[in-house]
Amino acid sequence: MKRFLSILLTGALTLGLAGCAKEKPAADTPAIGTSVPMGRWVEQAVPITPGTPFGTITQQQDGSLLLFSREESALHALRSGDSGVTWSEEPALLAGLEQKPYLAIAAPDGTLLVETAAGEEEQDWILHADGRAEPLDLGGLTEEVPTPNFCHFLDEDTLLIALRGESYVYGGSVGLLRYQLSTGTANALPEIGADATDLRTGTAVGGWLYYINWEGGQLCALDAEGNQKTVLDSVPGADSYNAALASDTEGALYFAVRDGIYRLAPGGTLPERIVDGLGTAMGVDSNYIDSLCRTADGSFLVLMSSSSGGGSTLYRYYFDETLPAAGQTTLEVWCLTDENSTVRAAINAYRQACPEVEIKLTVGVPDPDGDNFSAARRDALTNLNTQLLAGEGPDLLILDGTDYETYLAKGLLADLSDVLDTGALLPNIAGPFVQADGAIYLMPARFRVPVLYGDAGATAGMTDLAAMQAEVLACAPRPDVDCYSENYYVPLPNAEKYALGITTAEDLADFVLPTSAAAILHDNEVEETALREALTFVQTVARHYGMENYHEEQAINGVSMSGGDGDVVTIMNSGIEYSQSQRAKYGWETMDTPWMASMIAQDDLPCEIALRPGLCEGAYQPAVLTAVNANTGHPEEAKALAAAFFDAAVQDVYCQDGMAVRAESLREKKLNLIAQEKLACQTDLETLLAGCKTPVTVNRELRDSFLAHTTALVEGSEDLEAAMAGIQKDMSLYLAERQ
Amino acid sequence: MKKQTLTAWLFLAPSLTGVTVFVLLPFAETVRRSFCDALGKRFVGMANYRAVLENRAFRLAAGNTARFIAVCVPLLLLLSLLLALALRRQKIYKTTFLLPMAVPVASIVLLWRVLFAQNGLLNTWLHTKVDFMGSEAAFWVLIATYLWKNVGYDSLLWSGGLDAIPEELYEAAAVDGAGALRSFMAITLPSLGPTLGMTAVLSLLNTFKVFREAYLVAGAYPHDSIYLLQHLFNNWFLALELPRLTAAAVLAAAVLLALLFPIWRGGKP
Repeated sequence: MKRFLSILLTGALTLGLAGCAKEKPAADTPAIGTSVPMGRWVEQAVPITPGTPFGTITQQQDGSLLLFSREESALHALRSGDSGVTWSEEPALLAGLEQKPYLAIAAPDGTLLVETAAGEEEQDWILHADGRAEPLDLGGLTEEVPTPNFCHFLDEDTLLIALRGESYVYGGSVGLLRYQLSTGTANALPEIGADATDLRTGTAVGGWLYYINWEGGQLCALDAEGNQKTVLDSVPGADSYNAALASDTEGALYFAVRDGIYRLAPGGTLPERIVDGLGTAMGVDSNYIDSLCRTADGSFLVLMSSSSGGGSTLYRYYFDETLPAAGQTTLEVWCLTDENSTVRAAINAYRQACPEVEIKLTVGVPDPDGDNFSAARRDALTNLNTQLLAGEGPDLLILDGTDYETYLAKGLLADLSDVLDTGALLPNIAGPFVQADGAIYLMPARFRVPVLYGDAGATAGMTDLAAMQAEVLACAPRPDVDCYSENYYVPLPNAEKYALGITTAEDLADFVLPTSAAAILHDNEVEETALREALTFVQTVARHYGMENYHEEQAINGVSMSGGDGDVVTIMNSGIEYSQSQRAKYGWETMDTPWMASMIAQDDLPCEIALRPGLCEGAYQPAVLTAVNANTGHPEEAKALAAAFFDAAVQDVYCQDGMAVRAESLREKKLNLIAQEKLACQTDLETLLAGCKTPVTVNRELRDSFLAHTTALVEGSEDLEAAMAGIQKDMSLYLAERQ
Repeated sequence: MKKQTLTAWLFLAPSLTGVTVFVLLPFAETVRRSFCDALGKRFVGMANYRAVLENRAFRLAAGNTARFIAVCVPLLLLLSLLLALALRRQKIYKTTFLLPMAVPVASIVLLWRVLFAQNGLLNTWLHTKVDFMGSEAAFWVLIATYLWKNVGYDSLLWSGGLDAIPEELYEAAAVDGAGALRSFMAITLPSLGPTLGMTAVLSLLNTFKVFREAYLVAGAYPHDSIYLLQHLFNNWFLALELPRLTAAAVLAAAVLLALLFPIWRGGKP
């Protein structure tokens, strides 16, 4: 008996161990097509004519949908009777107005709130379903003409008005009014702890207006009496400040965010994602969600505007039961952080062309602002390397933030030369990534350029770090001024201007390394001459400015600006001190869009941009480094996805992660447009960008050490020799490992 | 006899399978890849071993690891034996000996930072300004951590060995006029032979675990004095230096085996 039990136990343990082995599908597993679940959400762009759609899509009581579009200054009312598949103009809706309509929103019963403009004069009207128009009379509660986009029909009789300006009579910057359509009377409601823009994305259901409070990331609700409630403490994706709400007849709420479309059941607290945003227009960072509508047939309409110009587009998301729930092929895309919006744009473009291929996006470090990015980065790279060395791993790799040359040198990347048309790319940017034999193992889809700018003619002599250093000494030292004080914005006379807006050790590292790192760390050695030159510049600036005595608040985050159809441009402190506060002789930035040229001039005075002086000639920073795993199981699909990064559809879109490497996208869509703007900037940007020759990525170990010793230099706790020795010592182990 | 052998093999089969699948086969693959290129496809002979032995970082890491083991293991064995002898009759303390092993690494790391930072508690108490983690002192901090963490556990192992020595031997020695020192040298020490072997092996293996603390406090590139083989292995893996990594691992395994073999042989009665 004992023997039998021991044999049984042994067998059980052995089988248990065997169970640890990878499971192989049984030979009789049903083939795809016989048991594959069917049905998935499909995105479709809906053509709208005339004009460009904007504002809110409204579900009418008769089941139709109402939407407005604008063509030049003309407003058009559009109606759809087939859940948003097709739209036709309905001029009669706005015919009751004598003045020219400009903006409008609709109530479910067809009543409209319309803003008209006659010259400078604006006026809001209630346009009843029977065509009768009456002016919106707020009884003197405000002098502001409310913008319809910030108003909501709570029901057929109640209009909730969010005021934006400071003219609100109760003294608050934001106020709420309730307007009763039946009596034509207005009442003030208590102020709420939200911004008028929060209410813009709201939806009314059951007498409550639901909206997202962006600051707290909460889903809140407001009724006609001004009562408030918090429905959900944390709305998924609210941190992107990009969402819209909708509701259905059963009272369920829907919100569209970058991650997709979520549903919150009536009374529920757990949102469920219905439509995955990855691979759709919602997932593209440069798209802003303006409006969401749940239609009678269960599909969704999402109106999105693009920060890259081109107006708004209406997308329809419908559930297609004839398609398999998941594609037969799944590609995995890996990137270290989710900071490259081009990745999502490319995935979206690829999925439009190949909807049968599923894409899974893996982000190595989802929270790069977390406590210990360095450890999280190492963990993510260890996981990636484990997979790659085992001959597995993601199909497509975005190698930003990694030592990409290692992956290339170890033969882990596939040759992309058969799918990439390098002739269409900027030769000076793409060239360094083409091997001598013509092979292309990785290619940047974007690039950034460290630049210096100043008054016309000022940058002419700034060709190297020594010249820049001499210029710093020739100018006045930078005084210690609180960046939040009024003094910060008092321009200095030319003779008193300092050369560069540099305030911290981090600024010094950021100025020097992007143009010099490749010269300092070269051929697995720290070049002593280059390091000395870089640190001499650091020490000279720090001492000349007296940075060790800086006590005031020195850094603000930067200012984002956009003009017309141009890209959003962010100017950091280093540029603000030249172009806005006009205290520095030069501004310096990393240019990620040519539109930066439109934002740097001081009061439209002539200015110019040059490549920032450094130890590398024509330094630029490659970004969105796209590569395909050499061992991918889907080489054709993976390469096609890689190629999508360089398609016009992706390259033409500005994703705030760098400039397009596709020559036509940069020249035709950006440089030519900028040229037409007749900017104060006199630099020929095409010539400037053609001067980029050397791709520079800053080695993480070098930056950490350089920053530590730059800080010591600034504080005066180390001299030049000690800082040099320190960096060489810090790097010695790293370099020794790579001997 | 045959049936007994079969039964023994049946009992051994699960663990043997586990060891084979999870240890022996991966190690065999490691040995194979140490003779191949990065992708493990092309045979490169001894090139990887030459590269490893010529590498300054490897020599430094191997030297530090050897120095660490040479200092730590004898010190630990001695201290833990003394502790076991001193507290032999104090059973109540035995459970507290294991507490350092129960303290999470994250807490130890936090303690290290508070204690050994340049503006830390130790410098405040001593009125000094020593950069413990950025100087040679880091090595001794690491030694102290290892000893603190393992001395209790080892003393428990010694206690087990001491308890196994028959009391009659001491009584007979006392009758023959042997003093405490004589009894210790003639009875206790020789009887602790098997315990010494096992304790030494476990202590040696535990030296490799101290890397966690060193890494979490000082990062991937700590002060030269505490740059251990595990730092190098980790960094090489990140740099995809698999050929050199596998060659170094095989060399380290060979040295470990060379160290352990005499202990095993010596521990046999």
